Amino acid sequence: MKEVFTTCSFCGCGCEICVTGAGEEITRVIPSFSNRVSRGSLCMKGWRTGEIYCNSNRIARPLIKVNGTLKESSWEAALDFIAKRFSALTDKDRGVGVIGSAKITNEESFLLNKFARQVIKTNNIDSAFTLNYAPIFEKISELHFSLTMDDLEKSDLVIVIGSNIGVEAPQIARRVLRAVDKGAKLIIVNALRVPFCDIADLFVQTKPDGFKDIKEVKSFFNQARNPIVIVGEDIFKGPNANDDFAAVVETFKDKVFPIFNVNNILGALANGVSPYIDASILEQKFKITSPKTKGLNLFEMRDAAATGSLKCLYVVGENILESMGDLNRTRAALERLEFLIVQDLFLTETAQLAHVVLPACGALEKKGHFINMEGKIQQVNPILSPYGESKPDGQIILDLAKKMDCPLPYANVESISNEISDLYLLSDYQDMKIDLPVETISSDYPLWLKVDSPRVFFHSGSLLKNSAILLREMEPSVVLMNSDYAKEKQLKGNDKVKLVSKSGTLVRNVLISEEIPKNILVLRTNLSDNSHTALLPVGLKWTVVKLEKLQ
Amino acid sequence: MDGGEIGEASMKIKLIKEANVSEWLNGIIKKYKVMAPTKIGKNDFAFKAVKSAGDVSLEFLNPIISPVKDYLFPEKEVMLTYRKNGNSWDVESNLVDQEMVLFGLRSCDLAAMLFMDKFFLEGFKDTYYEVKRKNLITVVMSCREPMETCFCVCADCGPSSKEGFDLQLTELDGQYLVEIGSAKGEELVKLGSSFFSDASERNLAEKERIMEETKYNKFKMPTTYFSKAVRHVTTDDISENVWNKLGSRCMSCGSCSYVCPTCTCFTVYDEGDLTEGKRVRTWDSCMYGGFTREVSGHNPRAVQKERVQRRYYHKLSYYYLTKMGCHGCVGCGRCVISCLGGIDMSMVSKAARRNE
Repeated sequence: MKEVFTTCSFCGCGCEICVTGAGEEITRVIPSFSNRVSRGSLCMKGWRTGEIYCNSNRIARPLIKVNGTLKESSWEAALDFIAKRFSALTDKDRGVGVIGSAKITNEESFLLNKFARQVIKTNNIDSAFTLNYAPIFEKISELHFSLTMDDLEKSDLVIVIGSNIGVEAPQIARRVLRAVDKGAKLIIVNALRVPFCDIADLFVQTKPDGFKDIKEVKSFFNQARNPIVIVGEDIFKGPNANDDFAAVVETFKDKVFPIFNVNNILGALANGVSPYIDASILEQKFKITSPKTKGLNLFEMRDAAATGSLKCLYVVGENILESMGDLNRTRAALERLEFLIVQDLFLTETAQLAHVVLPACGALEKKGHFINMEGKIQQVNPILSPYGESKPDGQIILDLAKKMDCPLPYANVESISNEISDLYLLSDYQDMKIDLPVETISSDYPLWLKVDSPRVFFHSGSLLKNSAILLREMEPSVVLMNSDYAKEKQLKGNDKVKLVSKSGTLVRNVLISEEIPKNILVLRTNLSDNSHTALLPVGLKWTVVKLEKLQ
Repeated sequence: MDGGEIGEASMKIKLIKEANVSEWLNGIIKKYKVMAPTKIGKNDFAFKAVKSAGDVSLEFLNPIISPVKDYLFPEKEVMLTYRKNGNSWDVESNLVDQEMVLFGLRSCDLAAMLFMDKFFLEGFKDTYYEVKRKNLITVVMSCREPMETCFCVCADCGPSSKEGFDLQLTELDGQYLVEIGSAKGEELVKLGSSFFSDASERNLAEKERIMEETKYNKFKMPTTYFSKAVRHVTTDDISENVWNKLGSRCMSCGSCSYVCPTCTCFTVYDEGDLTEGKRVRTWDSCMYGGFTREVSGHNPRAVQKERVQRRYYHKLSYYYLTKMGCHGCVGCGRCVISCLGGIDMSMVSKAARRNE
């Protein structure tokens, strides 16, 4: 048995964990006491790290689809198959897309970037950063990703806009409570009550698309000496995400602290896994030659797949079928692909649609770095040997490049770490607006619907649902509504209703909750069922619906 | 335990020079498996199996997981392995029957062990705990520099142990006073008999003086609320408002249960499949909703506030005090470090006392 200190692979806080284990077995995961982020504490996800990664549901060998069924194969056969299919494709700059992961290391994101642009020769490369935080691009030059947890603890006014921080980023929530205990004022701005409302000095309940109207908060902000403004998922995935986030940045300027509930979301961006980085910068900083054709983001890739102009997609560690939203159209788009490669730890819903599945190592099986939400670079160290025949994502990319007769000149991760250190691209993105759906209630769709994450969640849930204890935390998915509204519609608890949005339908039982405003419904979800994503527009967790009572 | 305990009246006391401790410890390591505080990572500590006294750092901060809990009731324990063999099963237990010296543990953790003994050994005996416990030899190191989160004084569990140890070392000027608590402890002393000299009543008085001084001058936590908190929790006169606020702060991470050395809840599951696998027990937490949810879906502790309330009731109420003979809190301060919500024994005690 040995102990290894490494960085937790769940939310963007980036706790340091001390993992004890050997071979393929983890016996203990505890927080580092001396580390400045974890300081002796982990959230529910962090404590279950061992159970999640050392799990017999992991994919042990490459899989190739034969007559509609995924069958185990050797690495040699799988990589050969991929290389042949790639070489048969024409128009690769338009026809192939690459989706990176917010969970792989910086080094692996760098390799994926290089692989996409130089080996495949496409700029169609994107990651969950766009998926979850697209509104940031409009104001990216004003954000420096440099506010720290220590700044937070020292502030005298904390404004939390659109986040249930205790669920999204527990170490951030811990600092907020510390600041409050030391006398800071706490203001919560949200369309729905969150647990911290009970201890807040002020709760400003906004309309779901009305975060712009926060004059009252502005006056508190102006009087504070050292204010900080935390912005979370309800803004980034809200019904009017771009405008709301832009308004927040215009109001609160450099005091805005966007929180990331996925660990290495900044690592993907900082290493150019994005269609929005300039070719000249990639050339200059990373020595990467890009093709001329403008790249598509992941929403555009999905649409291009739906029309048939994108023929092949290489998806690394992202369960896009379930994380993107608009489930039915996303599924149809993925099913239309001529060739889908998925590289992941588990046979996710996306992987099940793939023509080839490549087994990747988890965070406890590889070496590299993550960047947390404060922009701090943290070390990732291996403790386990790779599960089955799985390989680190970076190694798979290197092997694939070699197989495609275009080897990338790296022997190991260390040589890549040296090449990219201090060359990150975070400050090289230009402000630009990404098209996101804007949702508004109307006579056709008169109700707001928030798809609420479970008490413990991480991205699409494909990792967490491998922990029995975390699954045990899940409660049945129901739709919560205010009793006045229920009365008006002659509904009571446990009645079955059908929710209809522009993109899909869903049947759920009713649960009455007095905490919810009258024209909002909240859909409680859980890790084991993602069918609710059928209701959502791409990239959002809010939508508008109508409701039908079922007998 | 059956180690042949020595009564307080006949407690033997010895002295060993600080400079000789390493050599004595090396002698112990030759004969026994020894776990002692070592530095790991950048600035963390853990009790690990040591190969020589050189691996040990006696100037340590008590690790976030109690060494007694870590050893006797670990985070993940393989109880048995199974393998299908024709029509029957080969089942092997993973019990290791080997003596082990835990060198340098703190008095709070010793108190926690005595508490765990009651849970695991009284009435139904938990074999996994029992086998390890009967083989465990404890060498307590009195605490002269408590951490700023410590409040053992108010739980009456430190900074030095009164009973239950095999040996207890207290640092005096350039030497250690060694209190021998059992025949097993005496065996350890014999392994280095040339290093030990007899101590006098004066040395013992000096130890008491130093410990009193530590008690009064070195603890930073507000500790005087504890007994009042016990009363308020027992009589249940704490307002709903207090529990509401605590419930809103709790992020149900479970850290409090995991780091608490008197928390003994676990869950059991199987890893593997129907042909081969292992049965594992792992720590569980009453802070989780799923911990109490019934098959019907009904949850007697439906919201977080009720879970927090229940935890403190369990730790402090007079009912458990009479049942277990002591509080469910030894004042180690780990919950003060670990709770994401900043809810900990001292904060709850304070809130209970002020009732706001």
